[in-house]
Amino acid sequence: MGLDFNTPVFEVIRNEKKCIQCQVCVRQCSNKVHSYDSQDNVVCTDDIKCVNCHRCVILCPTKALIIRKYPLEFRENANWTSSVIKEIHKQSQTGGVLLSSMGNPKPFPIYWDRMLLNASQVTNPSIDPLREPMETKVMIGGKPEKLDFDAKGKLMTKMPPQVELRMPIMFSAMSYGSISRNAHEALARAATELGICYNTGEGGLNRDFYKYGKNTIVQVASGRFGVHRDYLNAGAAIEIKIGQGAKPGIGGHLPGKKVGEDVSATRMIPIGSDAISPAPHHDIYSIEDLRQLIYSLKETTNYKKPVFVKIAAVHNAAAIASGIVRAGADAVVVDGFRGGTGAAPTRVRDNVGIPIELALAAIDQRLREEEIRNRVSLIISGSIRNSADIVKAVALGADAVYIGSAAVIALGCHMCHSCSTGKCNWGIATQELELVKRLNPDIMYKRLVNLVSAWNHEIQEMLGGMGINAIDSLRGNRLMLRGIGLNEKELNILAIKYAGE
Amino acid sequence: MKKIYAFESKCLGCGLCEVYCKTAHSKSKDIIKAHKQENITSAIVIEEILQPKAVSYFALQCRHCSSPKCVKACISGAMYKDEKGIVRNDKEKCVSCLSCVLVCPFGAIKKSINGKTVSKCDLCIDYGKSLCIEYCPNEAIKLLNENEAEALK
Amino acid sequence: MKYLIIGNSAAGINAANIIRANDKKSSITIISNEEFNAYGRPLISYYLSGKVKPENMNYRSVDFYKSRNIEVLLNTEAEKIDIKNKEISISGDVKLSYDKLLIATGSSPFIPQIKNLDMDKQKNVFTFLTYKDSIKLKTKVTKKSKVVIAGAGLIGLKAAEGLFGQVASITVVDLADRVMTSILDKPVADDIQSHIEQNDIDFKLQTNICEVDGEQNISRIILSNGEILNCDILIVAVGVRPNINLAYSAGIKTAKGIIVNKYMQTSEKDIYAAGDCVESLDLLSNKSKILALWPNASNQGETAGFNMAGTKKKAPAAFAMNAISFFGLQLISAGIISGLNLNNGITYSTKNNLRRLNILNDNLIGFILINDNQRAGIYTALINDRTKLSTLEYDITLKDISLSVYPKEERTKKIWDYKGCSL
Repeated sequence: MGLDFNTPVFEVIRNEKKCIQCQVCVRQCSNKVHSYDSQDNVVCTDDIKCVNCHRCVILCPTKALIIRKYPLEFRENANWTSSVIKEIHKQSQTGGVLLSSMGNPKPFPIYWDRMLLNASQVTNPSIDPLREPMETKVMIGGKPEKLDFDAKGKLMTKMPPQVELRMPIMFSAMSYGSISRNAHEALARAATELGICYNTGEGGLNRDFYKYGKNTIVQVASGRFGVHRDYLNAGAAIEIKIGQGAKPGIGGHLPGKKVGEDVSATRMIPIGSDAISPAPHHDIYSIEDLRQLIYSLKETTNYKKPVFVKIAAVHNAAAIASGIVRAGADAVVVDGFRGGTGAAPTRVRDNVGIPIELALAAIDQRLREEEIRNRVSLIISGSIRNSADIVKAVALGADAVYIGSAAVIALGCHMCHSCSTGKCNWGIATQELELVKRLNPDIMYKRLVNLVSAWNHEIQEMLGGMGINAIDSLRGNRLMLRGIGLNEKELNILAIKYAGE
Repeated sequence: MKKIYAFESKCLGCGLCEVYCKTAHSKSKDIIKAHKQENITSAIVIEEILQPKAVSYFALQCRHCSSPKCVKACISGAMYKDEKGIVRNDKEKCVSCLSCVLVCPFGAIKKSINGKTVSKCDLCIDYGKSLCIEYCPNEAIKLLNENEAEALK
Repeated sequence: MKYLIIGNSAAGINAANIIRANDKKSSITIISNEEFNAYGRPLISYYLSGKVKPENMNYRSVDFYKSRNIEVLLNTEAEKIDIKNKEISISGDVKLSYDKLLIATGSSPFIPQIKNLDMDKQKNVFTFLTYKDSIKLKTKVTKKSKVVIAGAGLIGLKAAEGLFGQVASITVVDLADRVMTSILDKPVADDIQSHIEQNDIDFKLQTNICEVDGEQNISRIILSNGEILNCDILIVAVGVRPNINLAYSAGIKTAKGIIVNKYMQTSEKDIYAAGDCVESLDLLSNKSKILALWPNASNQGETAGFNMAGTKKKAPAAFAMNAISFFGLQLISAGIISGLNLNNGITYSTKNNLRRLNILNDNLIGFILINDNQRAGIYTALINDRTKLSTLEYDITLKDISLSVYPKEERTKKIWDYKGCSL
């Protein structure tokens, strides 16, 4: 290899007083950071391989391990930071496109944290959700202009197809292939228990999972992997994926080594072949083309399933959303630039797309102005980190949110940003059977259920605090939001007042 | 009686069960002391299964047979089946002749490192709870009675 | 119902235990010509060395007899069986009646013809088969004793180990060309011999004692090769013979040992026999043999117990197996070790670390393991079950044995069978 500029990113510190040479770390690290030297009876570490996934730290029975930033410094420079220098070293060595995982990590403003929620005081009572009814159920799908009833009070209006969610949260599209079968099972079982939906991503749906169909959104993306009539009819709704927040304008690439027997059968591609999702849908070049796809999917499913269209939050997302509504979609899904991914070109991940908060506000505003907001549900995603983010999203106009990163964190993800290596030590983003095993769906689905149930409780608390007893009453109610640390332009786009106003 | 069953599809072969087995059977009941100061052999055998695509594992423990060969082979009377049905080894009486190792069809009895006795699962009867199960990170071993085991088979 | 058991060791005790488990009410009587409650017979060498204390010699807990309501008559010799009247005579003209009788009389040391040897008269000649032998020997030896052991089999060598460090010298004499002829082949026996020799134990092989000197005490031993050994203590351990006289004189069918069927029943309907005094069907040679082994005796005792108490059960397969250690070297062997032209795979072998498997026609028929004894029982099970090696997951001569050698379905069945192994 000759000269290699690569230096460790992390340092593994072993407390020898605590290390009992049990070698659990050796056996558990798929990156082979730890090794046992039987001659000296010590466990050694190779820092350069460490991605800081915490697997060894968590499993170490004596908590003898600490991982911290490798203390090697470059001369301080606010412009030529160490990561910039290291990336250049890497590219000058490999000549390749830099790949990264998860969402945009750059310190762009997080608007969720610059918006504050209201609460009732004196003039209208707050509600205690533990004592009084509190509704967080949402119906996803288009709503008619008006409702007609016959003389007996029976509904005459034909309702568009709906998906009922017991709470305004769904699990984001993560394909079988990018994540493991066990991760999928955990998501599917949790969604079923929670009365919400998970999303297949563009990986098709293994027939073993059809039983979770009522809680499944099946995705149709540019590679059309695993799409067939049974698949489309298996889910509760269909989602056409145009773009993804982590890599707008870019397709997907599942390396052949992750396409094993089961993934191959599910995706309907040969074993070991690269699964390449093109950047565009080759049959969609206009809103009219999109409409054709929406309606062919509706036709295939007898107009019984809502069709979602998912786009990345980009500059003119509002106009595109308007087009999507007019193309006949039942829900618009917008994914912000912090949305996660298994692998994306680093430059795209870090520089393309816009924050979901601004895109959401703009889209909701535009659809209302065009008086077509009722025709769709608006679902957003792209780094929903907690229940407060959800409440704020709903106040900005969202019907529901997708959570992806938060869900995988509940499954054990420690955000080491190494999904693309396929060596996920937590059994999430891997197809290696030995690693997949580490994610026991029996255990992990409960963690997802716990997380989402906890968030739902918190949502109810916050709603109650505002004196609202149904999440539907909060939707688009921007009076419940105030900005902090925002400039005039940002306040305008978000259409919220400043704190104190 | 309840005994420990291993789930091959769940076992990671991480070895934590062995760590806690040693701890539960130590004098100090302290992980670090048990390993650094006491010479203890775990009563668990981690079986490795090489498959074409992956290695899988399972943690094997004494099956507490209804008619234990080890008890019958034991020359000193150290190995016995107690009133609960647990096959136990009286370390005071054991002379480590390894007759039990010779006849256990599961290979679930180990010669202990100190050479003075043998090591086998006693369901942590003296400790009060089976630590291996408590600390298994993947619920790959479970303490089950006959009916529960039948249901999960 | 009256159960009578002659013999108070592995077979007798296990039989009594099973009878009581299956018949809570009837009377059970054990008679023993020894003076101790059942003890771990192979422990006598550990007692000799001081490794096992008297209180740990007990084979079963102190309350074994009482808690199971078993009467035990120690120091009692069964002299005659009266089959017609279903009773036995014991010393002092006492008669004990029975409904079901178990003969578990074990074996006695074989005393070869040696010129001038008189076991009754000479005070420094010993056998080594009972606890009493061991106690007597232990009181007799001093730091100055020159010990000669006739016989380099298991008993002789365990006696040698037991005495190690307590005496001035130990010399083992055997006519064979190697130690432990019955369970080892020549190369392994040589390794073990040299290991034992390192502990200052001398061997005189391919020769035997033809004469002893001394009236009250033997002082010299003359070997057939002409060598003369000074001797303070002579231990005769050249082999054992089944105690069949009692059965034979009652008209019960015997050969070398008492003949029993697979239910451990003798030629007499209500008389059973088990342990070292019977002939067992050797699984590997398919011949009737004496297999004087502790596990075999326990198994046969249990089987006899079941059948005596009315539950029909066949005795498990029997074949030679031994687990034994000498000076820290741990030896495990089973089945046929030598004497056949075998396709044997040595899977792992270093100086003190050897695994040898004897394979014949797709079956494992024997193995020797030295020190490396992990999961040895799986080999034993392969012999016992006559498992076709070609049905296994991997070649057992290439990789350490483990349960994963069985195909998944079989392995799972074994592990998940609630009973584990049963008789």
